[in-house]
Amino acid sequence: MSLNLSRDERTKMVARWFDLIVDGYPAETARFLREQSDPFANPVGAGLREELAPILDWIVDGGDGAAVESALDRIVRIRALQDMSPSQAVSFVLILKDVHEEIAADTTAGAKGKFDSRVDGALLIAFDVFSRCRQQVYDIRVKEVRNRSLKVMERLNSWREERAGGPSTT
Amino acid sequence: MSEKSPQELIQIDLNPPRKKWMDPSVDFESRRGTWSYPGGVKSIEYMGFANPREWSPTDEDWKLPENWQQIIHDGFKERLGKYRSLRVFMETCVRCGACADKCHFFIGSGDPKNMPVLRSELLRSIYRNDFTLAGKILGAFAGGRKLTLDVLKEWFYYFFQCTECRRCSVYCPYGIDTAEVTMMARELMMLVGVNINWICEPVANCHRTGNHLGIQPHTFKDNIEFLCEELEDDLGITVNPVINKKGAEVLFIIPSADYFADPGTYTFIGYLMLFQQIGLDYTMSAYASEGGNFGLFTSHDTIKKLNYKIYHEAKRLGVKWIIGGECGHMWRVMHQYMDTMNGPTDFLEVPRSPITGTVFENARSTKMVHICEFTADLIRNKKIKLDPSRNDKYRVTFHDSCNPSRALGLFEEPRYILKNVCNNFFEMPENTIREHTFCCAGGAGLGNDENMEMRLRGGLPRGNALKHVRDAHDVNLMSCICAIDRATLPPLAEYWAPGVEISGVHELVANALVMDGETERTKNLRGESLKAETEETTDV
Amino acid sequence: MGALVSLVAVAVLALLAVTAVASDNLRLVFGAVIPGVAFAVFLVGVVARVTRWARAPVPFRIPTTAGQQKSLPWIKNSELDNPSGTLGVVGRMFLEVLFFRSLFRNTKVELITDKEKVNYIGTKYLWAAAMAFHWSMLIVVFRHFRFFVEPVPRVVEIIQSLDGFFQVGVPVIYATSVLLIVSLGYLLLRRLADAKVKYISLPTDYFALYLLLGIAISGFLMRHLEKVDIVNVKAAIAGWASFQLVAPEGVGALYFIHVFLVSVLFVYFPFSKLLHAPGVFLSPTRNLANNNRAKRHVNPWNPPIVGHTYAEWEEEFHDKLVASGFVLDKE
Repeated sequence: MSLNLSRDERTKMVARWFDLIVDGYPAETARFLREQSDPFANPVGAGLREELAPILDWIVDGGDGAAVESALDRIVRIRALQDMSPSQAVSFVLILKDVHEEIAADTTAGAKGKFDSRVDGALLIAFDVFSRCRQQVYDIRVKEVRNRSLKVMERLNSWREERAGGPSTT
Repeated sequence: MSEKSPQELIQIDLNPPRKKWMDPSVDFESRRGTWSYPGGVKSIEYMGFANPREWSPTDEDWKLPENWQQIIHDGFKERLGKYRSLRVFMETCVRCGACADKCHFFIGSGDPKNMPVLRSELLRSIYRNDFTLAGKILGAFAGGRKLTLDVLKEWFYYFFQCTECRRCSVYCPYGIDTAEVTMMARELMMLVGVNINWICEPVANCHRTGNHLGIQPHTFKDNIEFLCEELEDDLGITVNPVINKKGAEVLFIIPSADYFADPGTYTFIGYLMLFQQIGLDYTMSAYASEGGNFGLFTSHDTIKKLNYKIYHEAKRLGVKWIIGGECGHMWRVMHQYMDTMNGPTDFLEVPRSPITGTVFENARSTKMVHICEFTADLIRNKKIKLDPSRNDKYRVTFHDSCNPSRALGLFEEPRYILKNVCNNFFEMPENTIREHTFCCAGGAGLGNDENMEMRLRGGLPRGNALKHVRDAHDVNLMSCICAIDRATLPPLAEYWAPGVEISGVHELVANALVMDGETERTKNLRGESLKAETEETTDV
Repeated sequence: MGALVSLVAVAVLALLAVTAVASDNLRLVFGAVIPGVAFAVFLVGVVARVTRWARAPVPFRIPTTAGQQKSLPWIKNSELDNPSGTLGVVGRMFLEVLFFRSLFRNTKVELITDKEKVNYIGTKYLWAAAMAFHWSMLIVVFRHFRFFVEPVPRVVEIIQSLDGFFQVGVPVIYATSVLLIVSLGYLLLRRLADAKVKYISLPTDYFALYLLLGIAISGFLMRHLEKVDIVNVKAAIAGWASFQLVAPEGVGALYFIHVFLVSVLFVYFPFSKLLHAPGVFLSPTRNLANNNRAKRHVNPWNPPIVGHTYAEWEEEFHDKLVASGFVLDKE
């Protein structure tokens, strides 16, 4: 049941995983994402740096689904908005399979299969998160039009009607 | 079969052959949500702008005038002769890269053309080609580029992807200001009818009715009376709004969103409560019913045209001086352009607070005082009574709006006020506030809903800093002094830092303000209980 | 690609200069005529370009404010980042020009974990390298006065001895010579290695760096390897002052490379981005005080634009104004 990956392997995997994801960006952006370590100057890089390890740990050790979802959320939330297709936005999870193959000491088919299917699980969660983020973007857009002035208009109109005893025009 | 590994797939998908930045190409179709709709025919005709027509950025043919390249060339030449800024900024950049990662759009999108240096190079490459010897002889080797339709399309995409926030300008060793470059590029595009509706329509509205939203005087008056009645119903507080009163001491200028859109309306009521309490002899104007000025995003001539009404109305009403409400780009215009464009103001007096006697020396010439300067002075002189505990349900942070920060330097006044009107105040990280502040990503005419994806991308750095204080200090309210912020930050917060609300500074002032003869307040301006719900059950 | 083309261009220029050694006529051309013409182009070009900048009007006062404004007397303003008057502007420009203050903002000093230390150093290097290059360049140019002025001014001698403080090598290796080459090397490497900077770089950006490197290295080698006879050089230069065009005797290829590349730099300078230095002084976001509201700024070409007047507005909305009970100017 349990997968065996040492701390050392995990650290290496996270580093490699980070590099591969960052290399998906244009070269000049990748360098910035990699090098700017201030989390407020480089929120995209910081999100990856902080969340990849817990995601990998979840894949290897299992555990709290909500925690991995929030880790994935931090990364996917950003990718859901960038110039990427939906598949590109979540595909960063899949790369982990290659990373595992490259770094893990236990190369038996059983270990590989187990790991890969856990990755698939994470991918599905990422997909859920992605859909949720996209839906949120649409909701926000619709809501904004309403909130901006329609709400005040509605209140104003009903107030006018009350005052004048009938509907009025703007 | 040789299946491609996921990694290979990604490499192929995400790493298209790297083009040099000089190759222009923007696929508008696949990038919906990151650009704004073009200017409507009606608005453009009304303003007498060039080339009114129906078109879309996704069209192959943008229906430009036959000689559009010549028009832009001539316009460019004219502006090089009129603005030293343009000439110096076109010639001094050494491409050191200091600005490259300072733009919120670059940070959020990862699109290298959002690096400020490249945004400017889009214009600079044409400058070299058209106006420098080296560019004419050496062409691309010297960084020159011909103005083709694809280049113009790229201008449209990227110059309407700059919020003119001036953050990059702070770090530039030559003070090159991308806002200025963007303003020039937009002026040039205006000459051939390439513009966006979220700028053109407010401009036309503002010219005709006096404000961006096109609110006509009777609605203006109705709406203000309605907001005051709501206040009376909710909190039992009576304020008497004054409109178009001749001979008042102070003309009060506000952004229209404050009296016509939530959450700005609470800030608006906040202003009126404050004036009521101190007995200020003020008037608003149904004609000068907008402080904001989308001319700033159109052309210098349009700034002047729209700004004209402020002094014109001050003179007609015979006021002594002017107070301006909380608005960002409005204050850039009032501070850096108004007096030059529409002054001098010999018919006004140097502003002097009738309550404290303070003379506002810093506004000696324009005669216009920021309401935060005015209120900070009241608090300092203990002329108003405040009960900050009424804001205890809020854990507040302050968002420095771009223009008051990098075009005025109004940092301490709002902070001084906030620290006096609420008990829980927390700063966001140092490199995201004051002169380093991150934009809401919806300024300069980009705060429309069709551009939401780009706004949320660009909003990441601000949202990220906000999320940090939300998690570290349970911040649940971000205060700001900009009407555009009050409109664009709520969606930003909803996506990046859910649970944080947005308010103006004077909304919080009014919550804390102890008014004469008031009954005990149980609710804040939003009609919510003064205490957080969880506390209520234990305390009451 | 652009980097390579530029490298070839500078190499070709250097080779061109080597040909000068061969004939007396060419020695005269490369050793005296070209430098003379180049220097004239430099002077005229710089003056012309700066004049063109200075003559362009400044219609609006648009400083970038990077600190607290001067408003209420009890709020401390930050005069250097947001000057309220001329003195503040002078201070701001002083820090900007001599210490690249804005560029320094780019670097942030804070405690960071070891692993990530490299990253911050990376951003600090730009400022440090820029400082090292510009200051060394200034001092090196200043040191060259000893070739042009007789007797050598005392200041030049002092600077020179300070520069050679470490007393390494014979003749003494000046600290600035080394700094100049190292900092230029760094700026070049940064352009080539940092994808972000590489992407924005133009071929001319590399050209300038190669040219400067060529000049610095040839100069260094001339002093320490070829050991050019200074007395001859000085004699020739003294001749120029009295308009006697002669090339110095007893100098080799390195000398001609050095002088020719300097000539190219002289000619290139006024037409390129290298003329950014005066730009700082003329940048309206830096050289103006943020006192817009206190003191009116005049636009020399302020166009006579009038907005929608109150009278027009009142006329357009007349009926609605009356119905809402507004008091009108005109009944």
